[in-house]
Amino acid sequence: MVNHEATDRELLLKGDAAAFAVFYDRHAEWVLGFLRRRSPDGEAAADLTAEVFAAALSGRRRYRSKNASAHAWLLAIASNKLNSALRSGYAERRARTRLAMRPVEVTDDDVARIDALAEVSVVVELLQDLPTDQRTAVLARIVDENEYADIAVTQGVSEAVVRQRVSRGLSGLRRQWEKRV
Amino acid sequence: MTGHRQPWYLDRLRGELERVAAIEDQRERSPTLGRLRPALDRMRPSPRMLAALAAVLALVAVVLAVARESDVERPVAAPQPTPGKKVLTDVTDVDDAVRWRLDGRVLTVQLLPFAPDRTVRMVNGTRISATCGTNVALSPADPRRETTLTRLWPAGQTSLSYRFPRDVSEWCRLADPAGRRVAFVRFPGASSAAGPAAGLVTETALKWARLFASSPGICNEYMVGQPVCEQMMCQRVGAPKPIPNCTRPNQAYTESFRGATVQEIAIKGDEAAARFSNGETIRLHWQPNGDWGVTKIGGDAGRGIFE
Repeated sequence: MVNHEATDRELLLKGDAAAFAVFYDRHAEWVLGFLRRRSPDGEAAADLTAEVFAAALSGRRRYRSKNASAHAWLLAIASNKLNSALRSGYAERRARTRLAMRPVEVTDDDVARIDALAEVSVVVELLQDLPTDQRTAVLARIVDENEYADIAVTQGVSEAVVRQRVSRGLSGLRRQWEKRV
Repeated sequence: MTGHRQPWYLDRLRGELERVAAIEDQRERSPTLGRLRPALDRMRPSPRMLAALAAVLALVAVVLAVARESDVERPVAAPQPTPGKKVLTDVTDVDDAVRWRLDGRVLTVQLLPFAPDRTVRMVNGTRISATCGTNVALSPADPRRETTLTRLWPAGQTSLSYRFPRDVSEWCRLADPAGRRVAFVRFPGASSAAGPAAGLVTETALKWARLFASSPGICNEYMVGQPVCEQMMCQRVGAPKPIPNCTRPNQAYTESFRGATVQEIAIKGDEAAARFSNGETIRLHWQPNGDWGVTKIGGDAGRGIFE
Protein backbone atom coordinates (compact mmCIF):
# COMPACT_ATOMS: atom_id res chain seq x y z
CA MET A 1 0.00 0.00 0.00
CA VAL A 2 1.54 3.29 -1.08
CA ASN A 3 0.97 6.43 0.92
CA HIS A 4 0.12 9.08 -1.67
CA GLU A 5 1.03 11.78 0.83
CA ALA A 6 4.59 10.47 1.11
CA THR A 7 7.39 12.81 0.05
CA ASP A 8 9.38 12.14 -3.11
CA ARG A 9 12.31 11.12 -0.96
CA GLU A 10 10.21 8.53 0.90
CA LEU A 11 8.79 7.18 -2.36
CA LEU A 12 12.21 6.80 -3.96
CA LEU A 13 13.87 5.21 -0.97
CA LYS A 14 10.95 2.82 -0.50
CA GLY A 15 12.27 1.34 -3.67
CA ASP A 16 9.24 -0.62 -4.90
CA ALA A 17 7.33 -0.44 -8.17
CA ALA A 18 4.12 0.99 -6.68
CA ALA A 19 5.95 3.81 -4.92
CA PHE A 20 7.82 4.66 -8.10
CA ALA A 21 4.52 4.82 -10.02
CA VAL A 22 3.24 7.46 -7.58
CA PHE A 23 6.50 9.37 -7.99
CA TYR A 24 6.17 9.15 -11.79
CA ASP A 25 2.61 10.46 -11.70
CA ARG A 26 3.77 13.50 -9.76
CA HIS A 27 6.53 14.47 -12.14
CA ALA A 28 6.01 12.99 -15.60
CA GLU A 29 4.10 15.91 -17.09
CA TRP A 30 6.42 18.70 -16.07
CA VAL A 31 9.49 16.70 -17.08
CA LEU A 32 7.99 16.07 -20.52
CA GLY A 33 6.99 19.75 -20.83
CA PHE A 34 10.43 20.90 -19.72
CA LEU A 35 12.13 18.66 -22.26
CA ARG A 36 9.71 19.57 -25.06
CA ARG A 37 10.56 23.25 -24.78
CA ARG A 38 14.24 22.45 -25.18
CA SER A 39 14.08 19.69 -27.78
CA PRO A 40 13.59 20.03 -31.51
CA ASP A 41 10.31 18.07 -31.52
CA GLY A 42 7.80 16.19 -29.39
CA GLU A 43 9.18 12.81 -30.35
CA ALA A 44 12.67 13.71 -29.14
CA ALA A 45 11.19 15.05 -25.89
CA ALA A 46 9.22 11.83 -25.35
CA ASP A 47 12.32 9.75 -25.99
CA LEU A 48 14.33 11.79 -23.47
CA THR A 49 11.54 11.58 -20.88
CA ALA A 50 11.59 7.80 -21.08
CA GLU A 51 15.37 7.83 -20.55
CA VAL A 52 15.11 10.27 -17.63
CA PHE A 53 12.60 8.11 -15.76
CA ALA A 54 14.53 4.94 -16.54
CA ALA A 55 17.61 6.60 -15.00
CA ALA A 56 15.52 7.72 -12.02
CA LEU A 57 14.19 4.20 -11.59
CA SER A 58 17.71 2.75 -11.68
CA GLY A 59 19.06 5.32 -9.25
CA ARG A 60 16.09 5.71 -6.90
CA ARG A 61 17.65 3.83 -3.98
CA ARG A 62 20.72 6.04 -4.22
CA TYR A 63 18.76 9.24 -3.73
CA ARG A 64 21.01 11.01 -1.23
CA SER A 65 19.56 14.49 -1.11
CA LYS A 66 18.04 15.59 2.16
CA ASN A 67 15.36 17.42 0.16
CA ALA A 68 11.91 15.92 0.49
CA SER A 69 11.14 17.03 -3.06
CA ALA A 70 13.08 15.39 -5.87
CA HIS A 71 12.34 18.23 -8.29
CA ALA A 72 15.96 19.41 -8.40
CA TRP A 73 17.25 15.85 -8.71
CA LEU A 74 15.00 15.11 -11.69
CA LEU A 75 15.88 18.44 -13.23
CA ALA A 76 19.59 17.56 -12.98
CA ILE A 77 19.01 14.19 -14.65
CA ALA A 78 16.86 15.77 -17.37
CA SER A 79 19.44 18.52 -18.01
CA ASN A 80 22.26 16.01 -18.29
CA LYS A 81 20.32 13.77 -20.67
CA LEU A 82 19.28 16.77 -22.71
CA ASN A 83 22.82 18.09 -22.85
CA SER A 84 24.12 14.73 -23.96
CA ALA A 85 21.40 14.50 -26.63
CA LEU A 86 22.18 17.97 -27.94
CA ARG A 87 25.85 17.06 -28.26
CA SER A 88 25.36 13.69 -29.91
CA GLY A 89 22.17 14.43 -31.82
CA TYR A 90 20.16 11.59 -30.26
CA ALA A 91 18.81 10.59 -26.86
CA GLU A 92 21.00 8.05 -25.16
CA ARG A 93 19.43 4.70 -24.28
CA ARG A 94 21.81 3.63 -21.53
CA ALA A 95 19.31 3.50 -18.67
CA ARG A 96 16.57 1.93 -20.79
CA THR A 97 18.92 -0.69 -22.14
CA ARG A 98 20.06 -1.62 -18.66
CA LEU A 99 16.46 -2.12 -17.58
CA ALA A 100 15.64 -3.95 -20.83
CA MET A 101 12.80 -1.52 -21.43
CA ARG A 102 10.69 -1.95 -24.54
CA PRO A 103 10.28 1.06 -26.82
CA VAL A 104 7.13 3.14 -26.30
CA GLU A 105 5.89 4.44 -29.66
CA VAL A 106 4.88 8.08 -30.09
CA THR A 107 1.78 8.76 -32.21
CA ASP A 108 0.81 11.99 -33.98
CA ASP A 109 -1.83 12.60 -31.30
CA ASP A 110 0.84 12.25 -28.64
CA VAL A 111 3.03 14.81 -30.38
CA ALA A 112 0.17 17.33 -30.44
CA ARG A 113 -0.48 16.81 -26.74
CA ILE A 114 3.18 17.04 -25.87
CA ASP A 115 3.36 20.40 -27.66
CA ALA A 116 0.37 21.64 -25.65
CA LEU A 117 1.95 20.39 -22.44
CA ALA A 118 5.02 22.50 -23.06
CA GLU A 119 2.94 25.67 -22.78
CA VAL A 120 1.41 24.60 -19.47
CA SER A 121 4.70 23.53 -17.98
CA VAL A 122 6.09 27.05 -18.35
CA VAL A 123 3.65 28.18 -15.68
CA VAL A 124 4.40 25.15 -13.52
CA GLU A 125 8.11 25.92 -13.71
CA LEU A 126 7.53 29.55 -12.85
CA LEU A 127 5.45 28.48 -9.86
CA GLN A 128 8.31 26.32 -8.62
CA ASP A 129 10.50 29.43 -8.48
CA LEU A 130 8.13 31.21 -6.08
CA PRO A 131 8.74 31.10 -2.31
CA THR A 132 6.75 28.25 -0.77
CA ASP A 133 4.27 30.45 1.09
CA GLN A 134 3.43 32.45 -2.05
CA ARG A 135 3.18 29.32 -4.22
CA THR A 136 0.81 27.65 -1.76
CA ALA A 137 -1.35 30.75 -1.55
CA VAL A 138 -1.51 31.23 -5.33
CA LEU A 139 -2.43 27.59 -5.91
CA ALA A 140 -5.10 27.63 -3.20
CA ARG A 141 -6.69 30.84 -4.49
CA ILE A 142 -6.26 30.65 -8.27
CA VAL A 143 -6.20 26.93 -9.03
CA ASP A 144 -8.39 25.53 -6.23
CA GLU A 145 -10.55 28.69 -6.14
CA ASN A 146 -10.77 28.72 -2.35
CA GLU A 147 -12.00 31.79 -0.45
CA TYR A 148 -9.32 33.96 1.22
CA ALA A 149 -10.92 33.33 4.60
CA ASP A 150 -10.76 29.54 4.13
CA ILE A 151 -7.15 29.67 3.00
CA ALA A 152 -6.29 31.79 6.02
CA VAL A 153 -7.75 29.18 8.36
CA THR A 154 -5.99 26.31 6.55
CA GLN A 155 -2.64 28.05 6.55
CA GLY A 156 -2.99 29.43 10.06
CA VAL A 157 -2.44 33.08 9.11
CA SER A 158 -4.64 36.14 8.79
CA GLU A 159 -6.68 36.83 5.67
CA ALA A 160 -4.59 39.95 5.02
CA VAL A 161 -1.44 37.87 4.94
CA VAL A 162 -3.00 35.45 2.43
CA ARG A 163 -4.05 38.35 0.19
CA GLN A 164 -0.54 39.76 0.37
CA ARG A 165 1.03 36.39 -0.51
CA VAL A 166 -1.28 35.88 -3.48
CA SER A 167 -0.62 39.39 -4.70
CA ARG A 168 3.14 39.05 -4.38
CA GLY A 169 3.07 35.60 -5.94
CA LEU A 170 1.14 36.82 -8.98
CA SER A 171 3.45 39.82 -9.36
CA GLY A 172 6.44 37.50 -9.22
CA LEU A 173 4.89 35.22 -11.85
CA ARG A 174 4.17 38.19 -14.09
CA ARG A 175 7.74 39.46 -13.83
CA GLN A 176 9.18 36.02 -14.62
CA TRP A 177 6.76 35.56 -17.51
CA GLU A 178 7.74 38.91 -19.01
CA LYS A 179 11.40 37.98 -18.76
CA ARG A 180 10.74 34.80 -20.74
CA VAL A 181 8.71 36.33 -23.51
CA MET B 1 -2.62 9.86 -13.92
CA THR B 2 -2.85 12.59 -16.50
CA GLY B 3 -6.53 13.38 -16.31
CA HIS B 4 -7.13 12.13 -19.88
CA ARG B 5 -9.47 9.26 -20.62
CA GLN B 6 -7.55 7.85 -23.57
CA PRO B 7 -4.23 6.26 -22.74
CA TRP B 8 -1.55 8.37 -24.26
CA TYR B 9 2.22 8.42 -24.33
CA LEU B 10 2.78 9.12 -20.62
CA ASP B 11 0.32 6.39 -19.63
CA ARG B 12 1.99 3.86 -21.88
CA LEU B 13 5.41 4.88 -20.59
CA ARG B 14 4.10 4.48 -17.05
CA GLY B 15 2.98 0.94 -17.88
CA GLU B 16 6.39 0.03 -19.23
CA LEU B 17 8.17 1.57 -16.24
CA GLU B 18 5.91 -0.35 -13.87
CA ARG B 19 6.73 -3.56 -15.69
CA VAL B 20 10.50 -3.13 -15.40
CA ALA B 21 10.22 -1.76 -11.85
CA ALA B 22 8.43 -4.95 -10.81
CA ILE B 23 11.24 -7.02 -12.33
CA GLU B 24 13.79 -4.88 -10.46
CA ASP B 25 11.84 -5.41 -7.24
CA GLN B 26 11.93 -9.15 -7.72
CA ARG B 27 15.65 -9.08 -8.48
CA GLU B 28 16.28 -6.96 -5.39
CA ARG B 29 14.36 -9.30 -3.12
CA SER B 30 16.28 -12.39 -4.20
CA PRO B 31 19.54 -11.10 -5.65
CA THR B 32 21.47 -14.36 -5.51
CA LEU B 33 18.96 -17.11 -4.99
CA GLY B 34 16.92 -15.96 -7.96
CA ARG B 35 19.85 -16.44 -10.29
CA LEU B 36 21.05 -19.68 -8.74
CA ARG B 37 17.74 -21.44 -8.42
CA PRO B 38 17.47 -22.77 -11.99
CA ALA B 39 20.98 -24.17 -11.73
CA LEU B 40 20.30 -25.68 -8.31
CA ASP B 41 17.11 -27.29 -9.58
CA ARG B 42 19.02 -28.95 -12.36
CA MET B 43 21.60 -30.37 -9.97
CA ARG B 44 20.87 -33.75 -8.39
CA PRO B 45 24.03 -34.46 -6.42
CA SER B 46 24.90 -38.11 -6.04
CA PRO B 47 27.12 -39.37 -3.18
CA ARG B 48 29.93 -39.68 -5.71
CA MET B 49 29.52 -36.07 -6.80
CA LEU B 50 29.49 -34.92 -3.16
CA ALA B 51 32.74 -36.75 -2.53
CA ALA B 52 34.29 -35.09 -5.59
CA LEU B 53 33.10 -31.68 -4.39
CA ALA B 54 34.67 -32.27 -0.99
CA ALA B 55 37.97 -33.10 -2.66
CA VAL B 56 37.82 -29.92 -4.76
CA LEU B 57 37.04 -27.79 -1.69
CA ALA B 58 39.99 -29.29 0.17
CA LEU B 59 42.24 -28.48 -2.79
CA VAL B 60 40.95 -24.91 -2.89
CA ALA B 61 41.67 -24.52 0.83
CA VAL B 62 45.29 -25.58 0.28
CA VAL B 63 45.71 -23.15 -2.61
CA LEU B 64 44.26 -20.31 -0.56
CA ALA B 65 46.60 -21.00 2.34
CA VAL B 66 49.58 -20.75 -0.03
CA ALA B 67 48.31 -17.56 -1.63
CA ARG B 68 47.34 -15.85 1.61
CA GLU B 69 50.06 -13.22 1.44
CA SER B 70 49.06 -11.97 -2.00
CA ASP B 71 46.04 -9.71 -2.03
CA VAL B 72 45.67 -10.07 -5.76
CA GLU B 73 45.45 -13.83 -5.65
CA ARG B 74 42.93 -14.02 -2.87
CA PRO B 75 39.67 -15.57 -3.96
CA VAL B 76 37.79 -12.63 -5.45
CA ALA B 77 39.96 -10.61 -3.08
CA ALA B 78 37.23 -10.50 -0.46
CA PRO B 79 38.44 -9.50 3.02
CA GLN B 80 38.01 -12.17 5.64
CA PRO B 81 35.61 -10.90 8.26
CA THR B 82 37.28 -10.38 11.60
CA PRO B 83 35.34 -12.03 14.41
CA GLY B 84 33.33 -9.45 16.26
CA LYS B 85 34.16 -6.71 13.77
CA LYS B 86 31.15 -4.96 12.28
CA VAL B 87 30.81 -4.53 8.50
CA LEU B 88 30.38 -0.80 8.27
CA THR B 89 28.94 -0.37 4.84
CA ASP B 90 27.55 -2.49 2.03
CA VAL B 91 26.18 -0.56 -0.92
CA THR B 92 24.86 -2.03 -4.15
CA ASP B 93 24.86 0.40 -7.03
CA VAL B 94 22.47 -0.92 -9.66
CA ASP B 95 23.32 1.89 -12.06
CA ASP B 96 27.02 1.09 -12.26
CA ALA B 97 26.40 -2.61 -11.48
CA VAL B 98 28.94 -2.47 -8.68
CA ARG B 99 28.75 -3.59 -5.06
CA TRP B 100 30.87 -1.64 -2.58
CA ARG B 101 31.74 -3.19 0.75
CA LEU B 102 33.68 -1.22 3.31
CA ASP B 103 34.89 -3.23 6.28
CA GLY B 104 36.83 -0.85 8.46
CA ARG B 105 39.50 0.44 6.12
CA VAL B 106 39.25 -2.43 3.66
CA LEU B 107 37.26 -1.65 0.56
CA THR B 108 36.02 -4.49 -1.65
CA VAL B 109 34.60 -3.64 -5.05
CA GLN B 110 32.61 -6.32 -6.81
CA LEU B 111 31.24 -6.23 -10.34
CA LEU B 112 27.69 -7.56 -10.40
CA PRO B 113 26.71 -10.22 -12.95
CA PHE B 114 24.81 -7.69 -15.06
CA ALA B 115 27.74 -5.24 -15.27
CA PRO B 116 27.98 -3.71 -18.74
CA ASP B 117 30.64 -5.13 -21.08
CA ARG B 118 32.28 -1.72 -21.19
CA THR B 119 32.93 -1.78 -17.44
CA VAL B 120 34.24 -5.34 -17.54
CA ARG B 121 36.60 -4.43 -20.40
CA MET B 122 37.78 -1.33 -18.55
CA VAL B 123 38.90 -3.22 -15.47
CA ASN B 124 40.04 -6.60 -16.81
CA GLY B 125 43.80 -6.96 -16.53
CA THR B 126 44.17 -3.22 -15.89
CA ARG B 127 45.65 -1.22 -13.05
CA ILE B 128 42.60 0.29 -11.39
CA SER B 129 42.89 3.08 -8.87
CA ALA B 130 40.53 3.58 -5.98
CA THR B 131 40.48 7.14 -4.71
CA CYS B 132 38.55 7.36 -1.50
CA GLY B 133 37.83 10.18 0.87
CA THR B 134 37.16 10.94 4.43
CA ASN B 135 35.79 13.75 6.55
CA VAL B 136 35.03 16.73 4.32
CA ALA B 137 35.62 19.11 7.21
CA LEU B 138 39.29 18.85 6.31
CA SER B 139 40.59 21.54 4.01
CA PRO B 140 40.60 20.60 0.30
CA ALA B 141 44.37 20.93 0.35
CA ASP B 142 44.78 18.51 3.25
CA PRO B 143 46.34 15.32 1.86
CA ARG B 144 44.39 13.22 4.37
CA ARG B 145 41.18 14.23 2.66
CA GLU B 146 41.58 11.67 -0.12
CA THR B 147 43.78 8.64 -0.65
CA THR B 148 44.50 6.78 -3.87
CA LEU B 149 45.55 3.14 -4.06
CA THR B 150 46.24 1.45 -7.39
CA ARG B 151 46.13 -2.29 -7.95
CA LEU B 152 46.04 -4.67 -10.86
CA TRP B 153 42.57 -6.06 -11.46
CA PRO B 154 43.35 -9.62 -12.56
CA ALA B 155 41.63 -10.63 -15.80
CA GLY B 156 38.49 -12.66 -15.21
CA GLN B 157 38.23 -11.66 -11.55
CA THR B 158 34.97 -10.09 -10.43
CA SER B 159 36.16 -8.28 -7.32
CA LEU B 160 39.16 -6.61 -5.80
CA SER B 161 40.08 -5.29 -2.37
CA TYR B 162 42.00 -2.23 -1.31
CA ARG B 163 43.40 -1.77 2.20
CA PHE B 164 43.54 1.92 3.06
CA PRO B 165 45.87 3.41 5.66
CA ARG B 166 43.16 5.75 7.00
CA ASP B 167 39.42 6.20 7.27
CA VAL B 168 37.70 6.43 3.87
CA SER B 169 34.11 6.20 4.98
CA GLU B 170 32.70 9.07 2.90
CA TRP B 171 33.12 8.21 -0.77
CA CYS B 172 35.15 6.23 -3.31
CA ARG B 173 35.87 6.60 -6.99
CA LEU B 174 37.23 3.82 -9.17
CA ALA B 175 39.15 4.89 -12.25
CA ASP B 176 41.18 3.32 -15.06
CA PRO B 177 44.77 4.38 -15.85
CA ALA B 178 43.48 7.19 -18.10
CA GLY B 179 41.48 8.58 -15.17
CA ARG B 180 38.13 7.59 -16.64
CA ARG B 181 35.49 6.84 -14.06
CA VAL B 182 34.58 3.18 -13.63
CA ALA B 183 32.24 3.68 -10.69
CA PHE B 184 31.59 6.03 -7.84
CA VAL B 185 29.89 5.72 -4.47
CA ARG B 186 28.99 8.12 -1.74
CA PHE B 187 28.50 6.01 1.37
CA PRO B 188 25.35 6.36 3.47
CA GLY B 189 25.73 9.04 6.09
CA ALA B 190 28.34 10.92 4.08
CA SER B 191 28.01 14.66 3.78
CA SER B 192 26.26 15.82 0.62
CA ALA B 193 29.45 17.65 -0.32
CA ALA B 194 31.60 14.56 0.02
CA GLY B 195 33.48 13.70 -3.12
CA PRO B 196 36.74 13.79 -4.98
CA ALA B 197 38.00 17.26 -4.47
CA ALA B 198 41.17 19.07 -5.33
CA GLY B 199 42.79 16.44 -7.54
CA LEU B 200 39.72 15.78 -9.62
CA VAL B 201 38.81 19.45 -10.02
CA THR B 202 42.29 20.16 -11.36
CA GLU B 203 42.20 17.11 -13.61
CA THR B 204 38.77 18.00 -15.01
CA ALA B 205 39.76 21.62 -15.57
CA LEU B 206 42.89 20.59 -17.50
CA LYS B 207 41.04 18.06 -19.63
CA TRP B 208 38.33 20.59 -20.38
CA ALA B 209 40.94 23.24 -21.35
CA ARG B 210 42.67 20.86 -23.74
CA LEU B 211 39.41 19.99 -25.49
CA PHE B 212 38.20 23.58 -25.48
CA ALA B 213 41.39 24.76 -27.17
CA SER B 214 41.29 22.05 -29.81
CA SER B 215 37.53 22.21 -30.53
CA PRO B 216 36.44 25.82 -30.19
CA GLY B 217 32.72 26.51 -30.10
CA ILE B 218 31.88 22.93 -29.21
CA CYS B 219 30.03 22.01 -26.06
CA ASN B 220 32.49 19.32 -24.97
CA GLU B 221 31.96 16.37 -22.67
CA TYR B 222 33.24 18.20 -19.57
CA MET B 223 30.60 20.90 -19.87
CA VAL B 224 27.30 20.29 -18.13
CA GLY B 225 24.03 22.15 -18.18
CA GLN B 226 22.24 24.04 -20.85
CA PRO B 227 23.41 27.60 -20.00
CA VAL B 228 27.10 26.96 -20.57
CA CYS B 229 26.44 25.20 -23.88
CA GLU B 230 24.15 28.01 -25.02
CA GLN B 231 26.85 30.50 -24.01
CA MET B 232 29.30 28.58 -26.16
CA MET B 233 27.04 28.58 -29.21
CA CYS B 234 25.29 31.92 -28.55
CA GLN B 235 22.11 30.15 -29.44
CA ARG B 236 19.11 28.98 -27.48
CA VAL B 237 18.76 25.25 -27.32
CA GLY B 238 15.50 23.81 -28.60
CA ALA B 239 14.31 26.99 -30.28
CA PRO B 240 17.38 27.89 -32.33
CA LYS B 241 17.59 31.64 -32.20
CA PRO B 242 20.58 33.82 -31.37
CA ILE B 243 21.08 35.04 -27.81
CA PRO B 244 21.19 38.85 -27.77
CA ASN B 245 24.48 40.50 -26.74
CA CYS B 246 26.28 37.18 -26.78
CA THR B 247 29.75 36.87 -28.28
CA ARG B 248 31.12 33.49 -29.21
CA PRO B 249 34.61 32.78 -27.89
CA ASN B 250 37.07 33.91 -30.55
CA GLN B 251 40.07 31.94 -31.72
CA ALA B 252 42.60 33.90 -29.66
CA TYR B 253 40.56 33.24 -26.53
CA THR B 254 40.23 29.50 -27.09
CA GLU B 255 43.89 29.26 -28.13
CA SER B 256 44.92 30.84 -24.83
CA PHE B 257 43.78 27.64 -23.09
CA ARG B 258 46.17 25.50 -25.10
CA GLY B 259 48.85 24.38 -22.66
CA ALA B 260 47.35 26.49 -19.87
CA THR B 261 47.95 25.13 -16.39
CA VAL B 262 45.73 25.35 -13.34
CA GLN B 263 47.15 27.96 -10.97
CA GLU B 264 44.57 27.95 -8.24
CA ILE B 265 41.43 26.10 -7.26
CA ALA B 266 38.81 26.68 -4.60
CA ILE B 267 35.94 24.46 -3.51
CA LYS B 268 32.78 25.52 -1.74
CA GLY B 269 30.22 22.77 -1.17
CA ASP B 270 29.18 21.37 -4.53
CA GLU B 271 30.81 24.25 -6.44
CA ALA B 272 34.42 24.74 -7.43
CA ALA B 273 36.40 27.26 -9.44
CA ALA B 274 39.71 26.88 -11.24
CA ARG B 275 41.97 29.72 -12.35
CA PHE B 276 44.26 29.05 -15.30
CA SER B 277 47.69 30.41 -16.15
CA ASN B 278 46.08 32.49 -18.92
CA GLY B 279 44.18 34.40 -16.23
CA GLU B 280 40.78 32.89 -17.07
CA THR B 281 38.53 31.23 -14.53
CA ILE B 282 35.95 28.48 -14.88
CA ARG B 283 33.28 27.27 -12.50
CA LEU B 284 32.60 23.57 -11.94
CA HIS B 285 29.69 21.78 -10.35
CA TRP B 286 29.74 18.47 -8.52
CA GLN B 287 27.71 15.81 -10.40
CA PRO B 288 25.73 13.01 -8.75
CA ASN B 289 27.81 10.45 -10.66
CA GLY B 290 31.01 11.55 -8.90
CA ASP B 291 32.43 13.76 -11.64
CA TRP B 292 32.86 17.53 -11.81
CA GLY B 293 31.43 19.37 -14.80
CA VAL B 294 32.18 22.86 -16.13
CA THR B 295 29.14 25.13 -15.77
CA LYS B 296 30.56 28.58 -16.48
CA ILE B 297 33.51 29.99 -18.37
CA GLY B 298 35.31 33.31 -17.87
CA GLY B 299 33.78 36.52 -16.53
CA ASP B 300 32.59 36.11 -12.97
CA ALA B 301 32.86 32.31 -12.96
CA GLY B 302 34.84 32.36 -9.72
CA ARG B 303 32.57 34.78 -7.90
CA GLY B 304 31.54 33.57 -4.46
CA ILE B 305 34.09 30.79 -4.52
CA PHE B 306 37.48 32.47 -4.64
CA GLU B 307 36.48 35.43 -2.51
